[in-house]
Amino acid sequence: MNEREPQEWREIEVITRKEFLQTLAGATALAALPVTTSAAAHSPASSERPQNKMKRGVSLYSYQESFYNRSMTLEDCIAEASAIGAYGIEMLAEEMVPDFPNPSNQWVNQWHALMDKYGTVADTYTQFQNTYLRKNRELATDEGVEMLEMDFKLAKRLGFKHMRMLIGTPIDVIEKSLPLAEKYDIWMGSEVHAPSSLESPLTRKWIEVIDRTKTVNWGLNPDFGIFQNRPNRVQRERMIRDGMLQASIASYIEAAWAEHVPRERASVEIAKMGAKDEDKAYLDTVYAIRMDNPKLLIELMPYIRHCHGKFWEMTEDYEERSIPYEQIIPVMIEGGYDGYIASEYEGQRYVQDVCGADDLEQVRRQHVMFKRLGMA
Amino acid sequence: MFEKYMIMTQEFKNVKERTDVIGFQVKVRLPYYRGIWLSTIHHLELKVDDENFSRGRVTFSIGSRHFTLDELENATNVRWFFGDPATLTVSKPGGLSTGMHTVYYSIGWRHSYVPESDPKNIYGFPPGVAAMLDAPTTTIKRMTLVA
Repeated sequence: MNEREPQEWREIEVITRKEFLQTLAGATALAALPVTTSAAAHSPASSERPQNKMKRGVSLYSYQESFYNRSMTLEDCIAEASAIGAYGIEMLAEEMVPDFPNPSNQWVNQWHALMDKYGTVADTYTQFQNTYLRKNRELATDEGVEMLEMDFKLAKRLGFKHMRMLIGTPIDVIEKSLPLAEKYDIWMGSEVHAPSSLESPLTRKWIEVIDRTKTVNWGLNPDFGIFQNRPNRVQRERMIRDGMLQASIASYIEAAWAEHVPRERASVEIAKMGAKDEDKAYLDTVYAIRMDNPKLLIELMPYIRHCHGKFWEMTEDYEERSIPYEQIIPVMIEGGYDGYIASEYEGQRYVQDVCGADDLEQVRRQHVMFKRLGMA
Repeated sequence: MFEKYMIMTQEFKNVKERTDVIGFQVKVRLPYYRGIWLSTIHHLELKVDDENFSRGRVTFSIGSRHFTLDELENATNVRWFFGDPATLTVSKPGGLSTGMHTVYYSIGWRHSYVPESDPKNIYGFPPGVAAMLDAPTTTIKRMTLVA
């Protein structure tokens, strides 16, 4: 099918990638930018860039396949992050901490030694609130608070100051845990993740409680997947290879969505084309894409101390194929964000059937993109 | 996710008690991006060459800790670490024959942080999201047993 133009946010001035590159010294010069901040500040392009204090990090989730298949150890993952200048480390404790939630003191000492050795910072701890731990009943609020305190304790032992809270964490558990968060000196960031958005009822509810309690221990952790503006190609191709999607129907759905064909009409059309249930699931997936307005980040900036650089496919041209970072990073700079943006590579699940682990290369490409967009 | 890593070739073998072959073992992994509490496993099925094994014939082991499949749901404080193998030991007098076997492994677990239902639409998940996430992942691998 023809390449479709991405859906762009219409209320703000949108510049294309090409125009963006033309505002700078050119892609070739950019690719050769030195690594250090001070050197970059003297590059010809820097005078056209606002100064910023944004920092690059990586969620070790990005390296999950290499860790899972034991081709890389935790130390290897941290060494790689450091080697690309992504010094802010995010970790899913339930993914990489052996004997979770009570690793040995020896392991904890090793963790701190790794941070020192590689110049990295334990920035964000990802928590999973396992409300449905038991088969027959969900955790009561007090049990939930107890579970969360277990994570606060481990985060504190490992030196993390921030904790990413996933979307399903009960609000009453978070609110009741605020005194504990203060005690353990942890800032909790509730993740704004698609299909939720910066203006969704859930996000508004979080902000309402944060404002009402005047807490400094709770805020927002945007996941940049909320800015997806076109279908995810690697996901589509995997579904086709798995026999879960017919290529002709996928093409129709994407074209219909790009041309704002009402969903009901598109549904009727694909039925005529012989769509099965799996094909209909792809219609749901594509029609759920609704790019949030990056400008909304500016007024929310006081609530944000950690961001997730979600991505699925970095091309060899250093572009994310379905998330327009060139519309996001400048807004973060304009808003004066001074925390880490942590890479979160999630494309491995769509390509691992046809290739070996590609996680290191994909993360590296995203960091070239970050640098080109003005981050140190 | 991780389908190609789920069934492991290493240590696929018959199991002896003294001199008698009482069954076989196969090592498997969880196709997920984190470790889990064993109590969240709600489905586990193993077949070899289209032979089904009732749940009572399968033992699930993490290191030296052993569970029947029915015991898993109460194991709320035992972890299965990300990427680590669990050993499935199947009672089958005489074991499997030397040669090629087709191993079928299916596992389902609760994504225990995602609300199972969202009646007030607080989280904005589409209907049935938990059921979709928790649906078992299944894979088949052909591999050789030597002894």
